[in-house]
Amino acid sequence: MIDIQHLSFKYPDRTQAALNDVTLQLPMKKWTAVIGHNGSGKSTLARLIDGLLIPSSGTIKIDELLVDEKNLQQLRQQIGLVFQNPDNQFVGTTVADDVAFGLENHQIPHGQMQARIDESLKAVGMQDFADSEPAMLSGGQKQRVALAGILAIGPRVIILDEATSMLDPKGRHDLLKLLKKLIAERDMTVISITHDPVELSLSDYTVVLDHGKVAMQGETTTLLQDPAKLADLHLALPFAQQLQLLLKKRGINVPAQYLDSERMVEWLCQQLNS
Amino acid sequence: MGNAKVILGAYVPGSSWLHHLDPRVKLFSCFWYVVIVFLASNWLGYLWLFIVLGTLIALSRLPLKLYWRGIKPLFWIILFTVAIQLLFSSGGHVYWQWGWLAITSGGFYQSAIILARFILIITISTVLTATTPTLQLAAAMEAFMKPLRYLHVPVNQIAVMLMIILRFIPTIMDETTKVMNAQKSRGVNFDEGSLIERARRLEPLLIPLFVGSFKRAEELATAMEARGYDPDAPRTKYRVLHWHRNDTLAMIGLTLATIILLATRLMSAGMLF
Amino acid sequence: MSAIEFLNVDYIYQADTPMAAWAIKDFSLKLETGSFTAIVGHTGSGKSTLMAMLDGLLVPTHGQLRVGEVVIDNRADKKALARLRQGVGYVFQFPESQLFAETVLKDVMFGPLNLGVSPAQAKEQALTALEALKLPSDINERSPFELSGGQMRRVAIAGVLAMHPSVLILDEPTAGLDPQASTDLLDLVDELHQKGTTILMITHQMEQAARFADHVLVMNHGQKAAFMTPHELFSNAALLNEAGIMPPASVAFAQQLQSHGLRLADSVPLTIEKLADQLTIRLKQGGRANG
Repeated sequence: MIDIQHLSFKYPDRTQAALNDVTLQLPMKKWTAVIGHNGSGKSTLARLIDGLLIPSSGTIKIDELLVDEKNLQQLRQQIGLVFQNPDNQFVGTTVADDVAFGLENHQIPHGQMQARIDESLKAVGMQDFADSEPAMLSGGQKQRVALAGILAIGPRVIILDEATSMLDPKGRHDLLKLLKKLIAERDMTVISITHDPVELSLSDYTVVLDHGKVAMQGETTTLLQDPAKLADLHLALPFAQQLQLLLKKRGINVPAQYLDSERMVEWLCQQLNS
Repeated sequence: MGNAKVILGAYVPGSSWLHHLDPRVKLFSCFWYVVIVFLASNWLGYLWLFIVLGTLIALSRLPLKLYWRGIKPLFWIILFTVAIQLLFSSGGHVYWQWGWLAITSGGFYQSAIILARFILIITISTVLTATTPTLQLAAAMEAFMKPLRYLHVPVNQIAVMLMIILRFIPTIMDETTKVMNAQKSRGVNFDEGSLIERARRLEPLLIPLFVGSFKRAEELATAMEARGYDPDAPRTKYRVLHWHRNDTLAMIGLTLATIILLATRLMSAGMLF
Repeated sequence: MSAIEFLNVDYIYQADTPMAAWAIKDFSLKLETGSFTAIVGHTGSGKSTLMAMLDGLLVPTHGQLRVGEVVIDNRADKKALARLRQGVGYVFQFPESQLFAETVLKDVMFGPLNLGVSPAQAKEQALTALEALKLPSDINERSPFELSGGQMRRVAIAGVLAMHPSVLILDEPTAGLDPQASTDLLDLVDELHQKGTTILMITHQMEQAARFADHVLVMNHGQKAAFMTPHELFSNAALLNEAGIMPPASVAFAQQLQSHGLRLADSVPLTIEKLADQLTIRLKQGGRANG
């Protein structure tokens, strides 16, 4: 469990706190989505969990590991962070060199490097691009390389900070599919900061931040049963939830348990094919 | 959108004996060759240098046209310098004189030496850059800089910076094209007007590039930190340069070439004949 | 006379070298004044190259292109290209990267001033554009670099609109924006369309094409694969498959219903609202609707 207690953070050049007394428990080995409007504190939370920022007050513990300066090396090994801009996190002159960058930082012995690079590139489907230069890759491919670089270190937690927002629909779809697969195969914990309703609908657990405070949290399926509340917080909803709200406005009540497109189709067929 | 290796220097992909040599050997040999160029003291010495150069060009299996392209941009400078030597040096038989200017046999001799040196030095550099990808050159330079660590020069950090520069050059070139197009769309004409006008028109190009680069640097630094980069901590290395038998042979060849060159100096002093 | 006309246009990169590559092949198209055309297709299909020619940034290798009265072919001189750019506005992807001036107002005035408009007139055009993009007036004297990402984008777009283009090209205008900002921006673009600007929008999001466009141009490997209304396009499963395009979610949903035996009056509902409307009608007729 990721245990966050009374976490507060204020950027030095702002008057308002980015995060205000946030207390949360995030499940391990599950996919948690953190959503909220721009400025709600989502990215700040991601960076605090990774130890890139120091909280004004409060603590974060990843299972028993306390997030503080003394544990930075362990934290960097256990947590991988994929950022929003695919270009501005790609360091190497080729794909293989970029994956190697992380290995070099963690002082992995030279003899182990090639095997780890090959294995992690294969896991993300980029093994044929090992010698490619970043200028020849699409945004989605670069994000997959970033993921490979993280996997090569063997972390327990992957945090995605709006990692799909600059990608086209296909790139986004491929990356999300890959993440789902990795969680299943490797028992990874994924925290994804996002606006994307599809990403939201893939998660197991959701936290909604609003102006630096927790507005809602819980199992994603439970939260999606109350789309009106999410809409009030100006959040983008998955297709099925949008349709539910529109039908409600037109006087049709869809029972709460028909949460995704497939089940709505079933319900509609029940209603109309009788 | 372009291969950084080919755009930057004059690297031409190939699989010749020279292409496969360790870049440290090539970098050192190039440097050493330039040194011994200045040790040649007679026509025999220069002949030997041209023979060595010719052999290297043949070994590179690259067309002569390529090497001419290395000299072409500097053609006028060379011509100018040669002309200066021709017209202002003195010594020996005078063929023609007009005030300060004079064409003498001494002049011919001096200008021939200058011309030879230009050609030799430029061409050996081209041999180096044509057969060695920029990244390998950077690795070789890093290897030579290692002793500077004892002078507290941050060699490891410089190496990482070099890699990042190389990686971002194509990206920044693309960005430049993009900003230029955006400003052209807003009515900027980059190729017209006086020098001063054109310089001012660079503002809508340079400022976005600068600002973009700062933002990029900040994000990149954060990402590097998240990936465990610590500039002061020791790091292992993925790309390691390996010394092979051919590299030893090359160094032997270099030594022999130097010995023969030194021998030509002795010949002019009349010691071997 | 139609606003835009392409006549057998080819574009070949590095045409006289051994590395020549076709980017656009034998492209012909007519677009009416005030139309809204969405341009879709895989990466590398030629969408950006086509728009670059439309804005006078590239010149056709063969063929002819006309925008209003300006005709461009491979012999076009700089003056003709400049005249072309006067009437065409191009909002590039992530346009905020072009901001450079000391203040927001100065940046938005830059375009009109370059067109030769007087400073007073340029200021007025700039203020109007900033207002149209719903930007608060207190940012006018601030540095554009102090603004949030979404605001910077709107300032960049204002900079293009201030030039009063009759043709507006947009390349993925909502890329990287959050959903609310996306909706606001597209509504604005639609407003411009209603007021008579000819709009061309490159997008990967079929929902956008379905909702706003009169016609969709599908590009495939440098050639025109299709030019038809959204309704025609999204009913054509074979074409969508070949071009590698997924229909908008509302259409996909209707198709799912259809595969379960449930046909709607309009089997290709272009927006989720239209889908909801049809379902409501059917449910209220169908008896068991709980209202």
